[in-house]
Amino acid sequence: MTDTAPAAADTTSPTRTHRFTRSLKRYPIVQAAALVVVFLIGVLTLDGFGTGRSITNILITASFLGIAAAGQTLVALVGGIDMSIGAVISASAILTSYLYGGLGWPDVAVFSFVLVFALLLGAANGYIGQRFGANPLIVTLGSGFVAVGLAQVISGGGSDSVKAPEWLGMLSRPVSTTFGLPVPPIVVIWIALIVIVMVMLTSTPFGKRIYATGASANAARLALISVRWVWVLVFGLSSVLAAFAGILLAGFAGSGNTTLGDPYLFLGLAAVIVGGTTLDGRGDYLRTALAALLLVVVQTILVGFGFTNADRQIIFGLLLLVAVAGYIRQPRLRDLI
Amino acid sequence: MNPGGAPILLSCTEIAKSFGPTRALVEASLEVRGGEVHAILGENGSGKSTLVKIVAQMQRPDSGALVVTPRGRSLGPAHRTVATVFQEVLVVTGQSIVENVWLGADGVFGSPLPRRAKRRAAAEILHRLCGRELDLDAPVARLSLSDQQACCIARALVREPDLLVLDEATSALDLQTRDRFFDLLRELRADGMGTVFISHRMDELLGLSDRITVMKAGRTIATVDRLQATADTLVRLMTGGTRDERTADRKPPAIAGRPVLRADDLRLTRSSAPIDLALHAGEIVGVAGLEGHGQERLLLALWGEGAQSGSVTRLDGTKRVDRLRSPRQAARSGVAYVPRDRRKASIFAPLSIVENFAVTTLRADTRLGLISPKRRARRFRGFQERLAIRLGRQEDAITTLSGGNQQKAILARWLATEPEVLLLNDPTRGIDHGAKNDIYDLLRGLAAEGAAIAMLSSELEEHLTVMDRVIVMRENSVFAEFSGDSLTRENLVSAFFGVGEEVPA
Repeated sequence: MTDTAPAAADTTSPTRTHRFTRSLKRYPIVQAAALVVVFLIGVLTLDGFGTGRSITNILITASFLGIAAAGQTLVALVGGIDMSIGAVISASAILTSYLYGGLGWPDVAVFSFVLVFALLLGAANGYIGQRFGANPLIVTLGSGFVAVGLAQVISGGGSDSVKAPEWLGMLSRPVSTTFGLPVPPIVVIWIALIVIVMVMLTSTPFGKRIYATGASANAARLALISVRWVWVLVFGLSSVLAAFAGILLAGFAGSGNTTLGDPYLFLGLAAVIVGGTTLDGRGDYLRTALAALLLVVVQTILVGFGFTNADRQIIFGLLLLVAVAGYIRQPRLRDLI
Repeated sequence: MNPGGAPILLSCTEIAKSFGPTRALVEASLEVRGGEVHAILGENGSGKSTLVKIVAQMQRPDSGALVVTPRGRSLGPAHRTVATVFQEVLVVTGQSIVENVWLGADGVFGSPLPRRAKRRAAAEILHRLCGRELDLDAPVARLSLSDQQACCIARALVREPDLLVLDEATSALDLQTRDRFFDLLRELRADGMGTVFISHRMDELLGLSDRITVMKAGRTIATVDRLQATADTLVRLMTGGTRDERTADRKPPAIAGRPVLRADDLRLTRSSAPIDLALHAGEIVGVAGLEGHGQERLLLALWGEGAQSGSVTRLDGTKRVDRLRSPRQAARSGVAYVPRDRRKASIFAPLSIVENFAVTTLRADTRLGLISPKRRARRFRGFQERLAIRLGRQEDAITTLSGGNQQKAILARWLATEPEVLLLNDPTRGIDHGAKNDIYDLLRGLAAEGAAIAMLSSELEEHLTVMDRVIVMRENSVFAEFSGDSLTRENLVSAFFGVGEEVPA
């Protein structure tokens, strides 16, 4: 008698605050608002911040970061972590410039080799992590070293003189245009990637299986989802996307080296966390993409203010802590709705 | 021995304990004297485990009084007033036998007893229990399960407790060890130790105990002297003394159709007896027993998972016959399994109601690789009406639903696979009365359409009112089967406790 009354009240007509917190959960409103606010701060305090040139530079940097963080988002959604992303970016960049500039392979052969190399490595990460219950943190850390090592062995120690294809660099040149639009192709590529990943997550069976696996691997197994396949494919995709970022970065930097990808691992993780994707199957790639933009804008403003690299790291670390503290409260918020 | 004159070791009065909305103990009183073995008897959910945990001082009662009076004697250095042995064999596998026996006895810096005294005490008790010398320094993992449990019993006994609590502690022991343990227990009883004893074996209870307290629905309803008790009187007490009270409007037992699922020589564990059974089209079969006797294992084995040996065969009416080797294959040939624990094994909290529904049948909504939300909504709406699922919007989070409606959505998930055999693991556990009745109606309807249903339930009432036939599980095998007039409360509970069981050779 008394226990049915409150339950009935809960299901009827959600109040305005209820509806607001619910949409907060569904859409990255906080991240979008923060981006706008931080951008306005930049425009108001720094000369030349709002110019087209500055915005183009921000978009290019964010594109690299966003593409590098796409795989990490998927891996986080199934409850894993991929520490090999930085290494795979470096290895791909080394291989791209060596196979093209050093051995003179045609572009298509170079890209196919690099992407298949990454796919096998990532699939192995997922298989080992799922089949043997090994912690993906350690598995991917190990396979990352293997990837960079292999790339060095193949390229014979890696020399800086070998070059990536010229046209690859054009994709991310600030002066480049795409079909007449005044943005470099890499930005368009990133936007396309956002659309593709979001459609995959929201509207395909594979996307639903990713969320189900992350929410409860046990329940997913009992609902006849092959958790092993999901892990193999997601970790495989993560490496392929990292390799894609590595190829683009080789073009941007002209060649590869063993530490080229390192910043993207940690900034990419930061983008996933600030975006609000959790390890239990909540979140999506649009959130990560907005957070990548946010991080790059903050970074740019801090540089503009003349902070040293060390200062910027301190401020970044504090911002991350604030963001994480905010999300830890989320489960309780969730229970209230 | 005269228990009336012996000192009272333990007295519980009017103990109550709730877990959230569940009232595990309503009013439980228990008195244990020195020099007696006091058995506690009750069926699933009667509250006996909760009472034992309170007596063992692992849980605090919400209200009521618990008084433990140690025997007035000089206490040894390792003495403990209450010691408990559980059904689970709790050994630390990385350590030696003697370390396991004295586990937890040492302080951070000191030990209550010198090393040599510890070894002597452990060796003495283990020799009594196992009937042979054990190498005290050997790793405990090398022992058989029965001998490992003997180490757990020894761990309790070396502390020389005033009160020994045995929570199904004998089920892991082999027969010889059990008999040796009971002999030792009788000696300790003569020395004045009190014992609280839970067992699922009626023969053990009647053979060992001096007094028996019967529990029902969170209350201790009677304490009887062993000399005045028989298996029949105890069963009548547990079931409330009422005669057969199956509802009159119960449909006549279904005329069994053709067999659709058959198990041959199925062994659920390495040591359990083999099972042969068949499920027929149009019948609802109850799977009953005291908790932990292999009911869930049986359902999973019928779904192609976890059987030690034997086979499960799906017969689909045409000439096709499938040997089930995996859940995936079982599902493909029309066998569905709905797990017990909704939160951990069924629902996906981040997904919406309709997404939770569609997760096993994603292909049905997919056109050109993309899910059509319209098609999905239309498919779900049919089940929503049939199962009377009450929801706001299909896109709301599954967690916004009540337990009953969540369970209905999960049932819909599996009905969408159009199963001919439904294996349900306690589907009405923890849901409200109305939703329960909706689910009963649904199951009856499905059976009438020709589905075969096997349903595990921890509620006696459900076995009496919903099932056409009930099989009672004991020790991972089928113990008895009841239908028609033999399907009564008394028969079920007697079978739960193995009344009439031959002592296995």
